[in-house]
Amino acid sequence: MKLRGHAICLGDNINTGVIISVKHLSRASTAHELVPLLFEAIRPEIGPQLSGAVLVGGINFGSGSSREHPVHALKAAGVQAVIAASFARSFFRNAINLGLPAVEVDTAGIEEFHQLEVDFDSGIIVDVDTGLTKQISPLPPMMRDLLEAGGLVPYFKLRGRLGAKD
Amino acid sequence: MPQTLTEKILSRAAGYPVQAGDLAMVKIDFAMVQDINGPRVVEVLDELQVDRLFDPERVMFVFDHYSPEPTPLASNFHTQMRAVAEKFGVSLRDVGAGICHQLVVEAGAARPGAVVVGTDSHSSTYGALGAFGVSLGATEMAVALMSGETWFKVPRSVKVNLIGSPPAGVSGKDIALHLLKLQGEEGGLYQSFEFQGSGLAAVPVHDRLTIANLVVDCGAKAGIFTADEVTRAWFASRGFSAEGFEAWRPDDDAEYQAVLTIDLSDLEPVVAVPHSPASVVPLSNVRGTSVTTVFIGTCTNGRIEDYQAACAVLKGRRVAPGVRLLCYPASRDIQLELLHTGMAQILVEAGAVLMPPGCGPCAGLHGGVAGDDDVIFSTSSRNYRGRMGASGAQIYLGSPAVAAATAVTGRITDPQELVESDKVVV
Repeated sequence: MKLRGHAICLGDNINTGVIISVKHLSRASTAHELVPLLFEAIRPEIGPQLSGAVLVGGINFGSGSSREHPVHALKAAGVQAVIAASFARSFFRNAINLGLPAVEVDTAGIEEFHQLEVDFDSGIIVDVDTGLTKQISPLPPMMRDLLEAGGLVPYFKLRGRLGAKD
Repeated sequence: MPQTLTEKILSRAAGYPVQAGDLAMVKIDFAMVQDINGPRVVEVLDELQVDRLFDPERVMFVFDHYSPEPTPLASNFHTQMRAVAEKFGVSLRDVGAGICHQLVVEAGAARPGAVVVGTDSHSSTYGALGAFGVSLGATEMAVALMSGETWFKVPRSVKVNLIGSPPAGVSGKDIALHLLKLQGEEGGLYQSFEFQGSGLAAVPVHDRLTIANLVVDCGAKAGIFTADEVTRAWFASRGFSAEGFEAWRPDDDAEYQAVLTIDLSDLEPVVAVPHSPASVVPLSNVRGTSVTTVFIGTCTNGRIEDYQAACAVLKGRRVAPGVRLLCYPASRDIQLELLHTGMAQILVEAGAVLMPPGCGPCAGLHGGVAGDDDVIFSTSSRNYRGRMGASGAQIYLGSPAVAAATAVTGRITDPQELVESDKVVV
């Protein structure tokens, strides 16, 4: 598994309420309706830049609420992956369960709009514009299987149960 | 091998010994689904063509975030969830019943040693009673409801050693905010806090609920209080069995990632300032800040003891002109107690807006949503930018007593100040 996209750098402690405010959820019935409201409190102009992007966070990405809507909305906006120095556990689980790659890696030195290449097989992230290389630790097998299946629902349909391959 | 309390609970639930760092499949003892994430849970149950749940008696659906419904879509979500609750035979707590975490606690489902999951980040609350309480996403909750299992990475534990007893005026909220100040928004990531020590006896269950509730706001996975005499008395007084609790304590020589000692007698009243629950300062630093709105309620601080603290301040006083005081009890039982004890009358006579049980404007959903120029003093858990409505709103977090005093003067106020001024008048 390999992907390439431009970096959108967001910083530390990006909480789920900042990604998409819960107050919109009683008015938007699909993830696509949430897309224009993503990051409205901190970067209201960001919408069009999200398609094909790799989001780059600092520490504690996705803190706060455990709801899945931020992941659904990011996927609907075309975000390919999120990489961050650390994640709130609930965001990380939701991302994997919904098939959005989330990678824990030191993100220092990665710059906005640079092209990033994420290679899950070799465990390497490259900032193509500067040549900066980052090593990622491999995902546990179950999470990798979940991502490859496209998330928990397709995984479950395929396997009928949760657990390691054998 | 000696185990932490977290390792003990997860070993029991996994059916084999686990230690920090292991990925474990565990059986769940109770599952709660609230109405923000419920619509997705029922969508996935439908997509996976689930025809029965692992044990409907161990599942509770709660309508609290949209209580009552602010939009047609929210009403449609509720209609959908009502039908699914009936189909599977699970307990449904409809609009007006209360906030999910309070209802799970009142039902006696959060017991020492239990694994209790909820589709809400503040599911850490259940740790106050010795359970491993933790949130799940909606999709994985649907799978857990079907199979009765989910996976966890067994977290490392931090021993939080409480000593001493808090001075007058220092509540569970102050202890919790002090912890957030020490940890920052991310200091607890992937860790389980285990509260122990001689100071436990001085922390009643309602304060433990506030503290366990807030551990998630420094990133912690769980915050578990070792069951003690206080825990036992709480269960016994509500007619629940309190047997076997002694098994749920860590081994003496368990290995901790860190030990954090907090001397409760050193603490003072504190306030979290905009826009982070971990931006915590002494109350004296922000005294005098003008507010437009005061909010007393939520899963953090909407319990009867919180209203007792507020009413002690509000009795015989009035909310300042130009300020709205919104009170949302955390459950119908609490609402009834407010009515039976006359506290409801104290609140209403003071000029408070007494609202039905539910989450209220905590997440900006309805019933007091903040505008751009609002400055709010709230007993809730989060003051992120835009959390309660408009992005321009400023949210301060603190205890119910300080909230009540602030409502009376219209400025952030130490309740002690009001007592002093009374003396002058007398």
